[in-house]
Amino acid sequence: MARLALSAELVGHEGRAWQASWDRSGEQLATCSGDRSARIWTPVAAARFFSSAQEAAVAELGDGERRTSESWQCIEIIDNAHKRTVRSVAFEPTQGRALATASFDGTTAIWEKEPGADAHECVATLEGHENEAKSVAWSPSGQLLATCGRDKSVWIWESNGEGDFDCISVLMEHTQDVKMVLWHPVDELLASFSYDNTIRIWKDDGDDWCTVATLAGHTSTVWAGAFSPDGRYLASVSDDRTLRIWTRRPERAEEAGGADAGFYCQPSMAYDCIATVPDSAHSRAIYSVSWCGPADGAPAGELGYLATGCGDNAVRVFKVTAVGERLEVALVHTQENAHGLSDVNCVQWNPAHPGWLATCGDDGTVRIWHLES
Amino acid sequence: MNITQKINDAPLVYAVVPQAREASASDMDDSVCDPIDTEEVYELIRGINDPEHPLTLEQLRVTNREHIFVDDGASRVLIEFTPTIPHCSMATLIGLCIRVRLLRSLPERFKVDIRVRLGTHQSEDDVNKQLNDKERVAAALENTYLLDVVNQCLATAA
Repeated sequence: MARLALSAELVGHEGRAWQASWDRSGEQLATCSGDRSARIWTPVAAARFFSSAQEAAVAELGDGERRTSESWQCIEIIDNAHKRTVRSVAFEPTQGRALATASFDGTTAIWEKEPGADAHECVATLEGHENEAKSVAWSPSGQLLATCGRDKSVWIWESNGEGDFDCISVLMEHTQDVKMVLWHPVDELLASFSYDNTIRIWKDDGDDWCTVATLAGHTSTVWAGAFSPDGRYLASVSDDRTLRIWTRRPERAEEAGGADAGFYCQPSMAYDCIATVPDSAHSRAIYSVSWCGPADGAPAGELGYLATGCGDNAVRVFKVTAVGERLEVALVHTQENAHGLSDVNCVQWNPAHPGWLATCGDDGTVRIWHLES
Repeated sequence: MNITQKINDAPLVYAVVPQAREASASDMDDSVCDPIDTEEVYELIRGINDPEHPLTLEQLRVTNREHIFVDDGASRVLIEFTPTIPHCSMATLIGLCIRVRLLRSLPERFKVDIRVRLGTHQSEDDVNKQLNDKERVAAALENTYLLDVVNQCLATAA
């Protein structure tokens, strides 16, 4: 069995913490909150923090003033752009100098920090959503940005090379509120997760972006998803309290391409749900999922770990193993009351330091954990 | 508020039956922590005003003691409310008022589920889904106009 050791607590947000996003180096963490701000945090001595398995003396809940652990510091508070909750934050993945924040005020702000500067400046405000924007995601190349919101739309933006973005597509195929957007780690594909209980996969077919697959199976709002690091699998979590893993059905030779392929976009991919963690494992809606790849040199078939953040206050870790064509998803740890008696809104594995997990909750705090076997 | 055609022009109004409960010894003891129970939750919501009429949810039998389920140990509350008519478009607003009232009054540890009583509303699944989506609720409560309407309904609840 495994366990999650609490290593640091980041205190400062004055409202619920909605999302956490690591930068590519894994040494900066951006978080955002109902207090209308985004914050950037970093370990005081990153190499030391990630190399030693330490368990901080974190103050017991209800024990008076709670403060950020000494091993971390808040290096920036971004609170002058949004008039409402900041719901989503994301570091630009290739260089980490830029940051995007999406807000219930409908806008997405792009922030940049010049080398040598100590604060980010807002270089662009992307408008267009008719109401709350709920998620922002950068493509792995850093050239494209996706946003989505309660107006049921997914917007795709392209960098113009000068810090600003042009909208290149507005996709209106979901029938309800879109909760999250996520880029495939390898191919230029976008996944969106919706209150309409489906997941859509989008691709640019040369003419425009369109749906190439609709994944149906969840029986309530799909809150979030995560691709495996090699992009072969997609995990999704839902208000229906299940976690599902999907994989793309291999294309048969005669279905690929075709003379009239460019006329209008047809569903050209199919995804199958190959594993479901049943609703007995989580007792309330699951809000977040993150996939950590297997350790270097792990035996073939080991696909890493999934973490989930749930409305029943727990963070759960599952080990994923491929057994022939099937996937086995085994619960290896449940961290009850990971944020006290508050919902866990987001879980994110560190992309550069395996086994380190950031979580944020309705209690307004952000916590850093280390997975130990 | 819209002053033209009301959704339900002529609601049935019920007499309020006061419910007396004998105080027990442990009620008087300050060192004993009283668990939250059905009665306490009902006290919190019975006096919420209907958005359309100067009547409480109790008088309209929108809220009923029998449809409140409390598990203090598990920190769970389930409330089923009954709109006065099956196509009531105020149902979501009424549910939101109940949620806000409990958000402000119950200890933070409580997970609250609010549903339309089965079979009493033609869009009950839609209403239930909205009322129990915490992101939708959070966004709604940042809408100052809507918050004013909710606060007006809650003004009589205390």
